[in-house]
Amino acid sequence: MRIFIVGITLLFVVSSNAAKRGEKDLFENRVSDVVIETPKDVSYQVGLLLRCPVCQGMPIAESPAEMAQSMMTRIRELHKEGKSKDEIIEYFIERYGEWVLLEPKAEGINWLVWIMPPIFLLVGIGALFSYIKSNKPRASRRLDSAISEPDSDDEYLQSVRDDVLS
Amino acid sequence: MNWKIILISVILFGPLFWALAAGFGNDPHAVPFVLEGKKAQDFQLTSLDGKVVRLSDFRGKPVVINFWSTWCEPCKAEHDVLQHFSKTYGTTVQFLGIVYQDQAEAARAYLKNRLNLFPQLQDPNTRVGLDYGVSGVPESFFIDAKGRIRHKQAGVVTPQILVDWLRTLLTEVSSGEGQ
Repeated sequence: MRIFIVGITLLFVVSSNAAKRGEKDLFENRVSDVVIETPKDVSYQVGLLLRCPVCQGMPIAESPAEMAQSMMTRIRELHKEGKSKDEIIEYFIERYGEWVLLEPKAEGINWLVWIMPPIFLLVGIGALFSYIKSNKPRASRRLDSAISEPDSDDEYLQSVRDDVLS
Repeated sequence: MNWKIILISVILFGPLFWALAAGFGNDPHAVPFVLEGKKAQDFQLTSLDGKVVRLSDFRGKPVVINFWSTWCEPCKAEHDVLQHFSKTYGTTVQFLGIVYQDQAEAARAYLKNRLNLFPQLQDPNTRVGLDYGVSGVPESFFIDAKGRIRHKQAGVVTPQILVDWLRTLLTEVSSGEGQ
């Protein structure tokens, strides 16, 4: 019986150590697959400019999607081959169109996207000032007349005016 | 005064409305097909049964490349259609399957008990998928005998699409245009 208990205990210890070793190996394999990039890395900078095709408006540099990771791997390969940032971006535009850019190029019809917001802002500010300027004297005049002009038809209002003006 | 305001509003808002109206007609998630008419990039991939396959090996006849995976249900739906057409057009059109972001073992297991008449290729790191601008599966590319990409079918390829495109490409071959 004692031998049986010792045997079971040894089996448990050996198998748990083997399992731990397996977990460690698996963990090490995963760690070796992970590429840690900093904002200074060209691949990360390019990845921030490119749209992940299977995500909602997310750059591939920050997407965990397999598609985005494959694109990041391709960026690193192209960078290692000596391709510049613009050349790498061009590689993706040639295959996915300008759709792949998170920020549209400031050219052609795209200029509207860049020009219209400041124009609308300026027009809006101008309209607001113009409205305030044209309404301010009118509003103050209305207030003055409301206080000073007597309404002989209503005795109650007349007494209120008298109280206010006194 | 009112006419001035209307004119300024039209000048300012007109282009904006025009741009928005043009944009409303587009699906923001649809990846545009920009490779139309361009030369299909050559590749060398290993099939699931270990054979090396190059796209350039099939120059001179139309090629249909189908990107698929086992986790994609629509891909399974079109599998039999592609096999049927491969059987029908086998000698005149080359069909190629490329396993997209999937394990080779899973693809082999899936194909084990199914009709599989054309090479199924492995694409490490989705390299070829990226070269062809693939953004999801299923996607199928129709390449003419000159090696130019003529059509991309994003989504399930139907018998009608296959008939239309294969007839077009084969007519070009027989008339000498595609050679």
